[in-house]
Amino acid sequence: MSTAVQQDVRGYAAIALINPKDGYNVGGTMRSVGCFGADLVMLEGKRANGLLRHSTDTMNAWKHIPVQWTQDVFETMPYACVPVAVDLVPDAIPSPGFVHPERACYIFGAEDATLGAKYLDRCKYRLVLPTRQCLNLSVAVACTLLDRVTKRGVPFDPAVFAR
Amino acid sequence: MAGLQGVQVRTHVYRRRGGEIDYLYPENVRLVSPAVVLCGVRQPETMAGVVRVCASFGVPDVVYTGSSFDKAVDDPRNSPYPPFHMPANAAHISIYGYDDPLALVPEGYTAVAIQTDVPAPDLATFEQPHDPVYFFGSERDPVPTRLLKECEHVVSLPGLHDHTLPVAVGMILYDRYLKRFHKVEPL
Repeated sequence: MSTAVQQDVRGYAAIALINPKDGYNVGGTMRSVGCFGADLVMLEGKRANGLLRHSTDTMNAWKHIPVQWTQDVFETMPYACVPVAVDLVPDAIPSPGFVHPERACYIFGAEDATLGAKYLDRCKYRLVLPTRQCLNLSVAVACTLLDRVTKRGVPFDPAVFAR
Repeated sequence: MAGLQGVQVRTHVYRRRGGEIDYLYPENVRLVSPAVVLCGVRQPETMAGVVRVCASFGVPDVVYTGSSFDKAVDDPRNSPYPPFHMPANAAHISIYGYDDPLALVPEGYTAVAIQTDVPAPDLATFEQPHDPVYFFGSERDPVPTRLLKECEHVVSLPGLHDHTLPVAVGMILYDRYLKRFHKVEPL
């Protein structure tokens, strides 16, 4: 079995964090997002307030990537962006066989909770990283973005990375 | 593998598994591939993060050098680092402490160093070996030169900045999973 490789560098990747557990998670995730140069980060949920500027975000990624607090990620999502839920749910597509949309918003739940039907039902795709146990949020975000750039067939280039 | 020259090493390998510690002779330790080696890891919290990632990807053995982790586990009150919690799934991982990790790499295994400070092939173009042992630096320092020159491959991770150690370990293990088991070809 061979996975198709997308050859274009168009589009973008956005990341949405739903009710993240703590600042350690958000800071680490922001650092991963900053390393991959994603285009937008959205935060939703009561616990998300005040978690952004954490010591684990050593590169202060919030200064370089637009971050948006929102009451509803689906309302804030850019036009024609495809929501992709990344969660450990039974009917999700394992990431190795997943073809990434050109314009994707990857939605991650908290480490201590699942996304739930409120989000899963509104997402076009459900994606799962095939690991034995759940990953740390920053590792899950990094693996998802690594999967995206690997399959798009583009060697590392800071100018177009993660697009 | 050659031993260290001029570096004081522990006479025994410390093996921690499920809250118990064993002291083994190096010749009695046989790592199981894929294994992860952390050279000089400082923060025990980083170690806990790496162990969690390794457990998720089914990596059975983690090796560390240096004494920071030993101090944090054996004498937490006097440790300069904040309290940390080993993940529950660490019970299934063997954590080896030894200062000459190359002596623990079995014959036929391939040592791969993950470096960001030297020119190295990008992960996207890297062909994953069959039985790898991955060598990582610490939070601040790269893989020591004496170990780097013994590694068969050197690879760099994609990214605009340095990744945290657990994220770096997760990326290389995920890349191995994609390329070995799902035939995603290197570029």
